[in-house]
Amino acid sequence: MVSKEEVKHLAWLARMELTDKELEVYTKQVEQIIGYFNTLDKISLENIKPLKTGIDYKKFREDDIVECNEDTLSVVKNSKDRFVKAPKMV
Amino acid sequence: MDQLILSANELAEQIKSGSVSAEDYIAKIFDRIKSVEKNVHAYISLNDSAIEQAGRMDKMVKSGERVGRLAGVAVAVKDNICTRGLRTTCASKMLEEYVPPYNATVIDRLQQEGAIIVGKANLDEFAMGSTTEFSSFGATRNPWDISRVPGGSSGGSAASLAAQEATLALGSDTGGSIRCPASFCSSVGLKPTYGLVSRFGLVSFANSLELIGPMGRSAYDVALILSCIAGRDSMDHTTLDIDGVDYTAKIKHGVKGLRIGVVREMISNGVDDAVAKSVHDAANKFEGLGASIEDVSINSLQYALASYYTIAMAEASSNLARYDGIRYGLSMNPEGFAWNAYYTKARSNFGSEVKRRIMIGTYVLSSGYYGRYYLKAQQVRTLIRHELAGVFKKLDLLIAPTMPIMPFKIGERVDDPLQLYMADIDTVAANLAGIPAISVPCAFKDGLPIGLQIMGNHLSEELLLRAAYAFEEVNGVKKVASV
Amino acid sequence: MNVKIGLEIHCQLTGLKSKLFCSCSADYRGKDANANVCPICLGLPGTLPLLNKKALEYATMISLVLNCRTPGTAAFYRKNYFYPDLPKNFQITQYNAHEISSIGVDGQVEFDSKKVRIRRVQLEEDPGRLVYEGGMETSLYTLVDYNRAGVALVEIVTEPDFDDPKDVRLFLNKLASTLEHLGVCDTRLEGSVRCDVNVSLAGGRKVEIKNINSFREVEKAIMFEISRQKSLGMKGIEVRSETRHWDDARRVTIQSRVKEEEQDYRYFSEPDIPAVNFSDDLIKSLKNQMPELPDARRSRFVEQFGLSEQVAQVLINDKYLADFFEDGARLYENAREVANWIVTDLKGYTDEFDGIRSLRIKPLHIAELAKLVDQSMISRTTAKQILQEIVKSGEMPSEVAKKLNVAQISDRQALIDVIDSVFETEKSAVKDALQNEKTVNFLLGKVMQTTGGRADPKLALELIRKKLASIT
Repeated sequence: MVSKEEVKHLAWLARMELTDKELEVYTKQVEQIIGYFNTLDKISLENIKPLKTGIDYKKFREDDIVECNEDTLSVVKNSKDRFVKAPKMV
Repeated sequence: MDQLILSANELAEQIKSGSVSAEDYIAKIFDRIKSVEKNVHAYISLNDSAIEQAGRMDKMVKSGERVGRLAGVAVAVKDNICTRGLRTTCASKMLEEYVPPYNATVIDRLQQEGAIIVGKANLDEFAMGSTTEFSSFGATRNPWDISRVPGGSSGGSAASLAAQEATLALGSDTGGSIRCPASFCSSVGLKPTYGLVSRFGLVSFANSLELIGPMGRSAYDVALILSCIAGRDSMDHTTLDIDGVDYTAKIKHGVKGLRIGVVREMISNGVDDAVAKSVHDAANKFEGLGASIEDVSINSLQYALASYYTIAMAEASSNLARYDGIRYGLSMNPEGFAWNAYYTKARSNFGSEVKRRIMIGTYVLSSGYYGRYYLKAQQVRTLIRHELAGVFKKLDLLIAPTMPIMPFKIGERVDDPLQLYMADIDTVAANLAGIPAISVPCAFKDGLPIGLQIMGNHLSEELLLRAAYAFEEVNGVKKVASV
Repeated sequence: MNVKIGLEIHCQLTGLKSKLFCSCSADYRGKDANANVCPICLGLPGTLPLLNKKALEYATMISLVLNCRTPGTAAFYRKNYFYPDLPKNFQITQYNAHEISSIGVDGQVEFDSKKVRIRRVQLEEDPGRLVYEGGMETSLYTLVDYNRAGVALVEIVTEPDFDDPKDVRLFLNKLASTLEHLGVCDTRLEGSVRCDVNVSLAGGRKVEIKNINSFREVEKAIMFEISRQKSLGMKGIEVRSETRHWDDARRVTIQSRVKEEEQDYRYFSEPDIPAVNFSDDLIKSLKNQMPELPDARRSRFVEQFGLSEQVAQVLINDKYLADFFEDGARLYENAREVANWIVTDLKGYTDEFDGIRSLRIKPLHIAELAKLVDQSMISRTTAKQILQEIVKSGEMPSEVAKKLNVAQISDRQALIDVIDSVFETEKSAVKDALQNEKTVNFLLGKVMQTTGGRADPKLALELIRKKLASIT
């Protein structure tokens, strides 16, 4: 039902690397768990909309500039001249 | 009385009056930690400046300055709650060296009330788990039997209370992560109404389901800490537009006249006999206190677990996407790496449970599967909400077990994810509906704790705490283990 | 030829003070790298997006102006994909694959007697910027600046109702002017507007063109792409459905370097941002607060100032030009004279200097110039010379006129003297002028030359004719 190829693709979409052993184990587990989720097929819910209680737009944030007092950049490990270093796009 | 087992309330009073030195007491806590941690492993990091902060507290008391409701009290903070300048790892290799540059709102509020953060408590990696075995820095052990799990994901928080390594704790609850370890460790743990306590600074796992909640060794202590942290926060737009309240004010009002329902689905199939019996005994005790008890059935609960995990894993897959090592966290020089290779290498540092959930979360959101899984799960969620709302029109509170099983051996369920997920079967409904739920110590079997779960309608924390307090008064069980 | 063109426009809400989800400044230009960030826009663990309510207002105003329907509730979604310029590896947006949750849908714009339908108007956040040291080819890594990450964008998507690149240009001009008049976006700022285009020919496959970084480049990009697709068709080659990039240096569209594979963005509704309710009262109050828009302003220019439709149109195409004119017309009452100076002469300079705000001239300068000419103090030719000077120096025209001693000669006797001397030296021309109208102009030219352009040409011509008449 859930194939190794699918799990490989899932890992790719989530940018995670799996060894062959991991792929085998995870495929079994994912299949089992999705199989459990299939119990939701038993119930038909055409008339029910997912709850989306909106709030009045006035409750959101005022458009003001607030100086950030935290040392945000202290967490950056790889940087050059204040830029964050990232891998080059192929 | 031994300071390490005093309640937070009593401790704060004594520190404020000067009869107990905060510095003294905190030093004792650290001694205790030193002596038991090798067996319990409740903490990932300790706060080096705690004793010094306690010293300053004593000075403030001496000079008559206002010191707050939690003056000097030792708090263990789950390590997925950001503390400025103090390492916050989420028990993950991805954040092993991460030091947040800001405080979670709850931390600011605690500190304003004088609380002393003693250390960062262990958890399942990114709060994903029910046993704390998925921590990348070693499992926490149940102080009542160190060969067994303490529950999870806030296992470190609960264990620290039972092992006297803290007086109060903060945990987070996504599908039972406060209540489960509270039950397994004989503590009191409350999952508040969604939106009552700010999530700013809580590292997101499943943001529509989770929030930070208080843990302690008594209902009163939990009420006290809740009073300090609850209320609207402009840094979190999902908080409700209300102020926090003094949750201790009416806590002794008892349960006379309250209508309490016992949830049939939660004490039937697969529940350990001792657990089921403890709930029946609890029901009898409540009746003896003047409440009325009835049996209630909530049909949609059979879909709760599937709905919960579908939504939680979906949100997790997105919330954890940001961990790629580029801006913060584990450091990997990007030079020479092709872009996608860098991402996949960095993200191979997630543990297996996290990887599993990310993949499944990705699956249920994929085009082609979204309707059948994620959308359906959200619809089921609405159904459960509606059904519970209907129940609370006729009943004030619901009781049920917190956990259907007794604390099991470390390693027992670690290779069977689905079986592990089943342990959450009684706790997830409260998260799906956003209603508050508390676990209070109920009974012991063979030296292992059993917790009682009490649930209420939205914003019924005062009622919950009243019931918990009343129950405690007539149901004395041990909260402190000798480890 | 059956051409179908659709647009996907992104405009930054430069009118906002702060970003879409945090209180960092929306003005990131010219700052040191990563000097305009905070834990929220850097996506640090535990942070939550805080929606800017003014952004909602601005987006709603844009949606109203484009005649869109506003659904009662708008929601935000996550678009999940990995890229270094995305701090969270998802973008918070409103578009999604499952339902309509934009601020505005099903709108329509009329321009130049044509109509184009607007599919949707929505909010989303801008990512950061990627920079390559020494060029993309040789660099071993990418450098990322998150100053721009989290800036508010409004996305406007049209139906593929355009069939002529010229119409696209007209539409974009109107849109730019409208955004300027609303005060929500300064379209002249670098990078403040981006336009992606879809082009298909004769019912063939759609090609998407990205990386067009100003409205001015759009027409050129479309024209190139149409001719590229046409020539493929003539060779019998099928056009592939793909994404191409506009290379504005070489003026061509090129195949996308990065393979735009079928992306599964796994959209789901953003749990950290509650859905937004739009009350009828809000819509009403925004409609009432709406500033004067280009079409209404053009009509008013015609009615109030007596300008021609064409002149009014040129002015309102650029809000700052229109503002400049109104300020000038307040300072000198011959509005048509003021307008003409702006539209005919000044505009040439603004096009060169990239906008009227970069010139040192203020409305007062033009008002004075118009007045001097209108009252015959200087000739029109002289005025043009003065304008050329003051555009750079910013001096008042009267000062320059004094310096050059170019007061117009309107003194009859002085002119008569000059004309007499010209008639002396140009005897054969005078003879010719008696028959030939063209030569009269030649004589006038000589008078102008002799007076260094200062002669009042109308008066001089009158006097020349008088003198010629007296000869015959």
